Amino acid sequence: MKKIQLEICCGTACYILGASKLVGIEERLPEEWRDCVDVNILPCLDLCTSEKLDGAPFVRIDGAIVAKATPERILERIQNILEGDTLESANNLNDNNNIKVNEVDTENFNGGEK
Amino acid sequence: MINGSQYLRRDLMIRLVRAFDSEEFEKELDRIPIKLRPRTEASSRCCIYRDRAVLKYRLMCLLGFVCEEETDEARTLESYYREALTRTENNRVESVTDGINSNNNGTNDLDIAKKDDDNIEDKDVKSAKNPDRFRTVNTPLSVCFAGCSSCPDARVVVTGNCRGCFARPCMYNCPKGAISIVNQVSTIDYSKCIKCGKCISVCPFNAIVRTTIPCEEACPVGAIHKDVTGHASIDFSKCIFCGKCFSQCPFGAVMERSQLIDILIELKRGTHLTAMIAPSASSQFPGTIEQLFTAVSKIGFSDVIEVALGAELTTRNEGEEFLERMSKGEHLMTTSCCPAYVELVRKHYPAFLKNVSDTPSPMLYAAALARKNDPESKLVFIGPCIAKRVEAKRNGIDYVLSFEELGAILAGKKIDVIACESWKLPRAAAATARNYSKSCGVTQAVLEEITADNPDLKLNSKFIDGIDKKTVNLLKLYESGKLPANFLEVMACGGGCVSGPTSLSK
Repeated sequence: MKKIQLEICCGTACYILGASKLVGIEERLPEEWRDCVDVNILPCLDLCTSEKLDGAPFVRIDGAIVAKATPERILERIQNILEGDTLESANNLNDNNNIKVNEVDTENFNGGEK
Repeated sequence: MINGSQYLRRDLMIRLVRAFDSEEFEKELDRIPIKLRPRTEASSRCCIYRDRAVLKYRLMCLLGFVCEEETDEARTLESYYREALTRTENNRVESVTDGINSNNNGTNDLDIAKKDDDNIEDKDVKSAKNPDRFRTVNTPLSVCFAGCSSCPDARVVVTGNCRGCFARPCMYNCPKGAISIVNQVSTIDYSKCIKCGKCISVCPFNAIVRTTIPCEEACPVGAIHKDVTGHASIDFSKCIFCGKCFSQCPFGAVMERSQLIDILIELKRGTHLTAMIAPSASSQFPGTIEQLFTAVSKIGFSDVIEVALGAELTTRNEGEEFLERMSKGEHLMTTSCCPAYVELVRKHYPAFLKNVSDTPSPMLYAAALARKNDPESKLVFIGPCIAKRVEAKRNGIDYVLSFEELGAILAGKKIDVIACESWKLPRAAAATARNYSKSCGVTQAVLEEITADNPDLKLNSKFIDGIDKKTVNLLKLYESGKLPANFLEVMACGGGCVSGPTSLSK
């Protein structure tokens, strides 16, 4: 099975706005998930333009952006994917948390479906 | 998790840095609060107008002013910025005459730095607690009137959970007889209550709670209190600049007088700036410390040095000082590198000052090294500490940048530490020196230094990991010998400098 790709933006803006607390998240994953998730630390994903700065920190999970990422939201998204949910739930996740990033980068959302 | 108040603070700094690079900066400044809190969006306080007011004061602090300095409420941020421009032009003159003029032997730090000595001698850098080192400087902290929520007084309150039970453990356990049952509800007589909290712990319905004023609770020295208007206010005759109120206020109403704008202005002017990076930097950013140095140089600093190199000198000299003091029959010496601790002793237990080491802090040694490398350069200390702002100002170090502010500059200029190549350090500082930023780091370094050559030395080292309301009493016990120790390390922040108020890794 293809592993879930979790990409954490460690550009400085994301990092100081919370990504510092996401580094090392692999250790917080439930034991049984660890083989299913690849965690990558990336330089700036270029999502932190001034209009969207308050969406930081950003992570990308299988191509879909999660804004205002927290360990809890990341785990929630991974669980959704493991349970077979598709991209729609990623958008719902952002909606539920009242974060408007759906329009930030639709390319990446589409990329997730490929 | 970082909290909303930290988030807003850092977010605003990044926006300021980005706006600074735009051509319309001066005009845009006063629009930032409006742009960030448009009428169409929900407010985070009572209304967007109050949100905007707090943002304005935050920006005022980022421009190097404190809220208390406001004399004209209609004054624009643009006008404050203009004052900042003239301030930075005059800065060099002020710091030289203010900070570095009176040394015992008539020389000053700059002269000494120009000498060709291989080493910086102890006498070259002024003592950590030399009296003229305590001169009054601009206060580094401010309480924003608009941000302060005037928290209700700290007391013990019976909530609606009370069922007026038959056992009434609150009433029976109250040592002062302050609780009675009125209309089937537990009721506290506040003329008797001593806020001991016994009732809270015995109530089976969790019906009794304690309300607190977080800043007052956090302050180890009783320096912050509600004034007649009900807003918090800092008494600077008591304040030790530890920054605990700054970290703990849930409304983010305690702010720092920043030098961010001064540094941005100086960088734009092309002034030579040497960044002196505190040992605690290692845990602040992703990537290695060498990558961080490259990132800092990319901002435009002309040189970058490790303060840990200064820590090596502090270690050596503090070790020697300790041996000398013990041979003279003294019974106790404490560290002096934490400026909030030295301020605590000075303001709250001056009789104890004799036990505080005279050895200058790593920052001061590093400054002397930096001046030797480039006498023309202005010095910028970069660290997680608010009290260092005061120590720096008193010692002629031009600027202090917090790690948060450094992060904001890097983020604003889109410099990624992990994408930077490694900086070639002329010489890496000793591991023990880099470890100064953690609790016990100083002790370890100094003890390692002296025990090798002095096997018979009777060492009894203790440490105080974080200053709180009991610290002064603890110092009294060490002074009287009731608590035995001959080497005492004191750090204002629990865990050491890495947990400083403006640390990113907290």
